[in-house]
Amino acid sequence: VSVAGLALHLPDGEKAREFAFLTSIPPSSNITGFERSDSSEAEGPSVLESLAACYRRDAGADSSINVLGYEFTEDDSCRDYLRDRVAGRLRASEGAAVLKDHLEDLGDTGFDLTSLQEQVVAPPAPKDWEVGETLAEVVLEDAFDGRFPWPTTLDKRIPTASLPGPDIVGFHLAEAARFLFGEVKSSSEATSPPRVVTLSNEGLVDQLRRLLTSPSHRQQLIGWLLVKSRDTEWEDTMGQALVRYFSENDAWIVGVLVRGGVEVSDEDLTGACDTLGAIDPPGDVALVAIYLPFKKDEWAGIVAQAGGEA
Amino acid sequence: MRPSEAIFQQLGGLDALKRSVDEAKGWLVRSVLEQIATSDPNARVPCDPPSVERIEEVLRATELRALDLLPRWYQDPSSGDGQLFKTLCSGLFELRRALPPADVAQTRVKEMVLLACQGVIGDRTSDVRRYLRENAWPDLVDGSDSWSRRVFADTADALLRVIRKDGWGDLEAVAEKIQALREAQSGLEGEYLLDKNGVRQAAALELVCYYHFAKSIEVLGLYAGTGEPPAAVDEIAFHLDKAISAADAAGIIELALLLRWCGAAARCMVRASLWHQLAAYNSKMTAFKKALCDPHRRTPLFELLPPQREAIQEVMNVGNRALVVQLPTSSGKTLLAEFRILQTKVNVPDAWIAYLVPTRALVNQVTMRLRRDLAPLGLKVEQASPALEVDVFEDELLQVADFDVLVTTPEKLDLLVRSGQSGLDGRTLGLVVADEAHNLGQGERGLRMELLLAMLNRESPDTHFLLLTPFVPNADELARWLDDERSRSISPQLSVDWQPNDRVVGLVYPDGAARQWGLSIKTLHTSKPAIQLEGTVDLTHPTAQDVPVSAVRQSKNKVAAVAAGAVAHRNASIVLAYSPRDTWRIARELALHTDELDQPSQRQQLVRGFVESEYGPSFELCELLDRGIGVHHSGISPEVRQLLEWLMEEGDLRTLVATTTLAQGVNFPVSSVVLATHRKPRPIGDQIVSAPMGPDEFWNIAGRAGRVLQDSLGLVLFASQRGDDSDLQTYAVQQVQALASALEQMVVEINDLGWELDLRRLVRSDAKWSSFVQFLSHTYRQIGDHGRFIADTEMLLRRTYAYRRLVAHKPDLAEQLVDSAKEYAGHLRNLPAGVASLVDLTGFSPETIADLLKKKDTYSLDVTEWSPSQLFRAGEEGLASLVGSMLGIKELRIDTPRSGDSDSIARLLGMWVDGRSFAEMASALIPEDEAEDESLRITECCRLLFQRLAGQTSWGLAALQCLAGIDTSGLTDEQREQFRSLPAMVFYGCSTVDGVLMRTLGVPRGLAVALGEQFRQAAGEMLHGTTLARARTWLEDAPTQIWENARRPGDQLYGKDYRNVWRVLNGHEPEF
Repeated sequence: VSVAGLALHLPDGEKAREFAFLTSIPPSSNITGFERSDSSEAEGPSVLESLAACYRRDAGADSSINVLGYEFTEDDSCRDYLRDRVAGRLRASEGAAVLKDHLEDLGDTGFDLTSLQEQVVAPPAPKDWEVGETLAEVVLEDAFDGRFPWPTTLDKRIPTASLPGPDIVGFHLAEAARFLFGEVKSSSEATSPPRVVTLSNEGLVDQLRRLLTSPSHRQQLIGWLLVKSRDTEWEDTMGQALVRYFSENDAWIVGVLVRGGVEVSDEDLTGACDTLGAIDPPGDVALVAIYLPFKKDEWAGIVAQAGGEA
Repeated sequence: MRPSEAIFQQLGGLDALKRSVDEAKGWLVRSVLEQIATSDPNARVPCDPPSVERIEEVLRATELRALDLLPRWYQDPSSGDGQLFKTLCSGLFELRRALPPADVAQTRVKEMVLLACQGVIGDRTSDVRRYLRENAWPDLVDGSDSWSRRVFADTADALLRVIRKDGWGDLEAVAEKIQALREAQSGLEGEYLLDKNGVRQAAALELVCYYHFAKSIEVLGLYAGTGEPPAAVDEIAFHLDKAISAADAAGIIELALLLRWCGAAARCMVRASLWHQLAAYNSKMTAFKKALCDPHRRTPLFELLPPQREAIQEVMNVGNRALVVQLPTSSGKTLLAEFRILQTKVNVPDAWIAYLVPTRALVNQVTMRLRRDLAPLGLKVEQASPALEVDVFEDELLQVADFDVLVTTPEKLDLLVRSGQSGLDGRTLGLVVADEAHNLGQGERGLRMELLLAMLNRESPDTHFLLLTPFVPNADELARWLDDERSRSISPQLSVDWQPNDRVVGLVYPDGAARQWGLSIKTLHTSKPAIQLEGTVDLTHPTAQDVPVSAVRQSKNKVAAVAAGAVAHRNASIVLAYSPRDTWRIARELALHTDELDQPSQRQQLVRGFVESEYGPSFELCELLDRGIGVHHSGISPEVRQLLEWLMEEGDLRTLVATTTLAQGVNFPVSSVVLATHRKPRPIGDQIVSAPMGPDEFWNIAGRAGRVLQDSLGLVLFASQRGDDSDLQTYAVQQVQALASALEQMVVEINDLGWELDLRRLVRSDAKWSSFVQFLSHTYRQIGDHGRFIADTEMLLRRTYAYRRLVAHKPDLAEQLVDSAKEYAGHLRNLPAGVASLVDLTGFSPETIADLLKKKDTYSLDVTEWSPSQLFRAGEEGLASLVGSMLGIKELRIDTPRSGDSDSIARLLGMWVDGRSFAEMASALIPEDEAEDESLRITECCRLLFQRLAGQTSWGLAALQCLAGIDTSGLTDEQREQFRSLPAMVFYGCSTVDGVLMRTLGVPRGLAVALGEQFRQAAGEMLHGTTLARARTWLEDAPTQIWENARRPGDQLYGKDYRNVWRVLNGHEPEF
């Protein structure tokens, strides 16, 4: 299997820490033959076939952050990935069924159910940012051994949230598992870097900065993972991640920029890397750009095409 | 070890948490002290950044550990893990409270919800409620908010209100807010969903979550106020579980966690509520709960304090015949007693309950409280005056005996029981509540109580006992004394150190040089929890002063006055002084630096007017009151003392300068206590010596510093001339001793002196033995058989606490005590007939009775001389000769250098009964050159009257009447009533029978006679109830005109003012 360099396929003894494995990917080599990291998942075989590393900047004296650029080299392969893997994940975490269950008990509260019931009957179509985030999530699973047992999606878009919750909350299955927290932004803006990276407060840089500098912010995520994992198969993973976090000051924080239909440009993330690199991080930090051949406003349409086929 | 535990331990575990909590408290305390120093209520000493970082780090590890323990707590809150969870939550509350608040309103509200929930779970409800009163939360709702933001904001607001429970207003607002949300839903929800919802339905799930949250808080609020629905705990859990599950499903992490804390807190709140605690008892209990929560009640009671909660189930268990409940000051012992009283009445409907309190002030205070709480349930609460005689109205009350609860002192109950009040004879004494039962170890008062309880326990095996005390190390022993098997001592783990707020105990001293100085505080190590601060902290910052620091350093009184001035703007404070004279000195010094009140309240004006009418306008207290300062000691009349206490409770006095009499008498909390001394005068035999207050007394006073729901910090400051005082440091760490028996101490003392335990000799040389020989005499009389008494002596003595302790700790002395009692029985056997019953009727020893019977001619006045007009008329010798006889009676202790001779005592009593003013009496009694000023003269005169003469001579008079065996058959009914009322006239200071009646009901002395006359005229129209009950109703209904009619010419106060004074003295709100 030609997935050399990816952690999940390295022999245990050779598993490099500090992202040495990523540096082993030649910048222009194609990464093909991805296999799903967990074959028991119900989302079908991976169709990610044409993701190639296109640029890389290693952590060094200037910055403690690795920057990685990946590019879908084939439109079809990307389309398939969106239709299969991303659409499958979207479908699996689609809330209509859950909402329907919840509505059954809501009658006792004295609130009116009409509008909510309509949501179940006619669920909204996926939004482009949902597609971007889901893509980031499944790529992190498929290529980087990320695990996300419980979907966390929209915290930051909930107006009552006082801190924008990160898009990515889960585990990184390294030698001993560690926490994986991250932010995702999607953009088809032609300028580099796009505004979603630099925007004050809501931008990728500011959101990552909060994640990196606010222990109480991370604490909330850890607390939630703790209560969710209790008495589940994830309890041991959680335990390992806790120990790594508190004893070894180790977690993996990622910022993912999903680009659609724009030229590959390492300018997209280098500025962010410089800005964030000065922060003493609570573990490893990586900025990952994923370049898709389709514009952002096409994504939802592509994903929707999978609907009938699934 | 679970990872969360390893992480917690790695950081230092509970020790680290405690250190951080102490550090956090330290910062809070510094802020409060800065507020005092700068007079800026918003001043805040911010935590330094390294402290914040340290505190936050511990907070995170603790919170994670707590979250991990949450399921264990749900399974079993009393398990080790469950308890640990609570402890951690209490710590989390402390830490969060000290951290700087968030700038963003939205975050601030969530912080407060989290802090409040963790505090509630950590059993810190009263601290949380106070925090929420002191720190209002931002209003989140404005017109432009999205629907979800509004639902959350209003629900969070409702939740904080349910926790705060600032009266019914908060609970009503909860219901209104949630209902308003329902009404607004249809207009706003659709648009929100359209805008925010995606394929993962997060926005819809978010709303689902909020609707459940809102419903659960609505139910919680309803339950807190009304106990409905009965299954609230399940209903709330159902909705909160659904809310959590929706938040989880939508991945709204912050909310999902917050709701978990809310769920646990809601469960705690339901369980702490009165409704849950006392569910499924009986209808009377339900009625009581409803009455406590009644919206018309001034401070509705929705939940029990943690120590009450721990104790309540044992208190309600009627299988416990003897119960000792140890609860700290201000933790609501009376309420527990009320529950037990009700339980007793449910079990034995005909039973009566004796409620014993140590002082006259408390008799009034407790009667008012019990009447307020229990009368709505149909229970009759009466009081027997502490006078050691039974006046005609009391006699009628006891004959009819249709009361349920009788509040009185142990001494009075002893007399009532021994003198065989027939009305009580036929009824079961169901329960004896002994308040402040730690007095058992205190001198003669303790001895009387011990022997009374022993006697009741022997003669009334069905009577239950409830002893209320602050912490004593040997409460078990005390409980087992009263019943070997069916006894319990409850010292709720929580309650030993429970306090309504944090406390600082420290030295306060002037620091600086020349005229540039301020006050510093240095905390002391103490035997009970108090916050320790590193180094010293300013109570006032050094500034240029009018007087040099050397002048203030002259005496602790001066330091105390300056310190009292410094804390005066911070709610009420008490300054404790050694003597009445010192109270005046301190108050004067304080007044020099205190401005007059800008706008005296109506309450202040009322009390000032009354003081002026009682003492005259030149009495110094008037001017002090103008500055918000009160003076409280034995030389102030009981009425004025009670009014001053009322002003304190109402927040109308800045400072009350008092002697230690305050600690025994009253039960109101303050913000700060400044001690000008830690010593008090203690009678040893006939001498008064200065001795340190016992640790129990000190903590009883210190415990008043800080008020439930009101102050975040209680300050207890010892005035000191310098910054170190090893005496005080040693004093502050003294532990409360095991509660000994007063009788035991007397026996040990005799043994230590190497004397023989010869009761006959002892009682002649020291009156304190009188109570014990009376106890023997009474029992001897009851048994009525010498042989049986001798055979049962040990059994009989076993009833005393002294004997039980001696058997355990000094068996040879126990044996001596038995022998001495048997020997004394030989003496009792040979007493002339009738002496034993006179002992029971008078409260004097057989020796005293025998002596008095021998010189009967000295007090056997002719029946006509016993008429009030004769007896109290100036220049008449009758009263002087009676007083002369009293001077020889050891039990009365009138014969002291201060009392004067029989003529001057008789003269004073005559003026007292005649209704003369204190100033007049003082002038007549104490020549002007003997006292520095009028205040001191009046103080001395009043002390003599209130502390000794009124009570003791009325007792003596009643006893002499009884011993003289006067034939009253030739008198008219009216004359006979007068004759019988003479002792009460002396006790209350009025000259007519109806005046006595009015005084019994708390009418001020100046109006008693005139009001009594008006009542007599009106009484014919009233048919039902005892005279006392009818008179009380009449007074309650009397229009202002009746009071106006009773005014004396030239009176400063109007009838309506007097009526208000009377209302206050009887526990009613004044009607301005």
